[in-house]
Amino acid sequence: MIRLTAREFRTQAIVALGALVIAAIVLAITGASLTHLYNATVANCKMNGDCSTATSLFLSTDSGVQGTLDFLMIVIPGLIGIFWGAPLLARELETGTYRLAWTQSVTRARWLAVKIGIVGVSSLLATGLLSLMVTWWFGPLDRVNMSIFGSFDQRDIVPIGYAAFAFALGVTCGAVLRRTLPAMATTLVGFVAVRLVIFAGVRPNLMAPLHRTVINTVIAHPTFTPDQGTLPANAWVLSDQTINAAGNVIGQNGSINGGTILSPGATGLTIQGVGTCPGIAPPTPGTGGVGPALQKCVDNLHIRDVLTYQPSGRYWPFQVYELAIFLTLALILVGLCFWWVRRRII
Amino acid sequence: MSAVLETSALAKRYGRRWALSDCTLKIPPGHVVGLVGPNGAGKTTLLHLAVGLLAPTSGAITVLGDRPAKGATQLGRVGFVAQETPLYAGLSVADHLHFGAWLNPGWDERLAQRRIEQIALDPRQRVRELSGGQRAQLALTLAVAKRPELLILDEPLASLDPLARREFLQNLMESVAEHQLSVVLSSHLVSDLERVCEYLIVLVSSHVQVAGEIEGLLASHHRLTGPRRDLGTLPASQEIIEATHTDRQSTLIVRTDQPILDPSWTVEQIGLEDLVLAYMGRAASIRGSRPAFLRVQP
Repeated sequence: MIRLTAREFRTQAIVALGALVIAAIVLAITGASLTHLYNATVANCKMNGDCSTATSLFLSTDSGVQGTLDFLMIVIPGLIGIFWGAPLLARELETGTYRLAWTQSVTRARWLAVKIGIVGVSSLLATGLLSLMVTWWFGPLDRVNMSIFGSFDQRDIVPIGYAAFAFALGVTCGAVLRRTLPAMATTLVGFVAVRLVIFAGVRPNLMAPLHRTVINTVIAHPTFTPDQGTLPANAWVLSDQTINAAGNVIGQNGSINGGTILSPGATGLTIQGVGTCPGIAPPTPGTGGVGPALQKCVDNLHIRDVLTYQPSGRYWPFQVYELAIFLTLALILVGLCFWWVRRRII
Repeated sequence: MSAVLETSALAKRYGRRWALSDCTLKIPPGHVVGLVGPNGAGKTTLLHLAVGLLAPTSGAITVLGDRPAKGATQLGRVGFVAQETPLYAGLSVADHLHFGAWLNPGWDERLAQRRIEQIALDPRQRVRELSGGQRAQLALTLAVAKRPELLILDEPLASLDPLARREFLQNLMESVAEHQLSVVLSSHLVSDLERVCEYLIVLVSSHVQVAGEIEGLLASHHRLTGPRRDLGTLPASQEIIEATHTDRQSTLIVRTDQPILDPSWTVEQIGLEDLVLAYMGRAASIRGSRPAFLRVQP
């Protein structure tokens, strides 16, 4: 049975292996020069005094490869579900060859176990290897970028969970629907839906988020931004709410509800909906803009930002939790698939 | 030796439709058994139940004394060629032989090779390039080379031309003679079965109409022709299977083990095809609640 599955899976396995080898070669070459560039520019930019130019230049290096890799890491688990998972049983059921396979001297359960085992483990291995290479390649860039949660889905161990889930979903859809194309379509829709639900609904709440109140800086009228120096480094900011001196929420993401409208008056500068700053002269047109006066008013009125965030230290626990969630879903689906094949296709 | 196939009140339902209901039959071992019936009689359902592809909704079925597809051993004892002989279109003939060898501990590689040579199949050829006859032969090879005790074939001849049919049956009979297989073969073509079967089961809408060795069936069924008469006057030992009447004449097909003594009848031997059709006609007319003896030819 193992040899049979290996024979049936041979072509797909060769294609996948070829693609991995090509990726490995491309990444090894470009990755080595990327590391070299990092050491040459960013690592010693402090000595040269200008880090912002060095980092922004470095972050745009090989932007084509960066974009391609991020894209691949997002779609490959889905493709595995669609092209390896969905046809695994659907094709046998659709073409009738299950009547041949299930009347040999091998029980249905064993037949299914070997098929899911070999193709499933190959899926996990392929995704794991690719993720390992991509994570290594992005190493210097991710260090500079300081946004580890921004590339959470495309690095480290979670892609393995996505691949396991997509594969199990594909196999189960194939068993239930018994037709390849509908099974592929359902797998795609189901995979995207579950990924979105976990991403938007579950991941932010895996652990209770932290809060931090920070001072606002006026970068350009009329938006504020939390002061860069007070931000938690490398964190995943879930929300950014603006509060007044009384602690009431008056806006979010750097703008006050209804727009930050300034009305110069006789008594001083007024920020509509928040308050008036007596004694602060409204800016005169053509004298260097509104910045310093507004900043003073914001400080006087105690307009602060409250950040709700997950700190960088939670990156690895989150990776483990999310992997566990998707592996559990995959196992449940595999169980369902066994039950369906043994008890329902009869 | 136990029956190769035994069912009692066997039934299978798909949703609200009964594909097979209240089917009770017993097939003795050591025969080539023809299972014949019109389309939709439940032949395929019955055979799929026998190989364990389906499970009964109610009733019981045993094959070679055990539950179908109970385990690897039981699966190995029954060879099956499904309708339209499904094979992997992208794989070669040789791949299929590997497939058989890998999945069946009792695989007879020499037998398989010999049969492939005999039917002149190129091992490197892909299945999608084979003709219907070649596909059927390959499927039969796979089923026979696992060395089963019972071989079940579901309409193996349906898609074959007359020449391929003859070759297939020849091949089947050689295997049967060589390995003392029991065979159950379904078809709706009586002429094909007549050539190879010793035992016949007529299945119409789930019910066995008649079952027995063909020789015995032919000896106990007669066509009687004579002046038109009331059917109530026939001896009790004569079971009427079919009766047709014209204004002056009655033609009956009757089953009896007794000699026919009434001199007013002209007694004729009956062919297998007529016998099967008579039973099918009777079942159909009962189903349509239209007694056979009221059917009057114009």
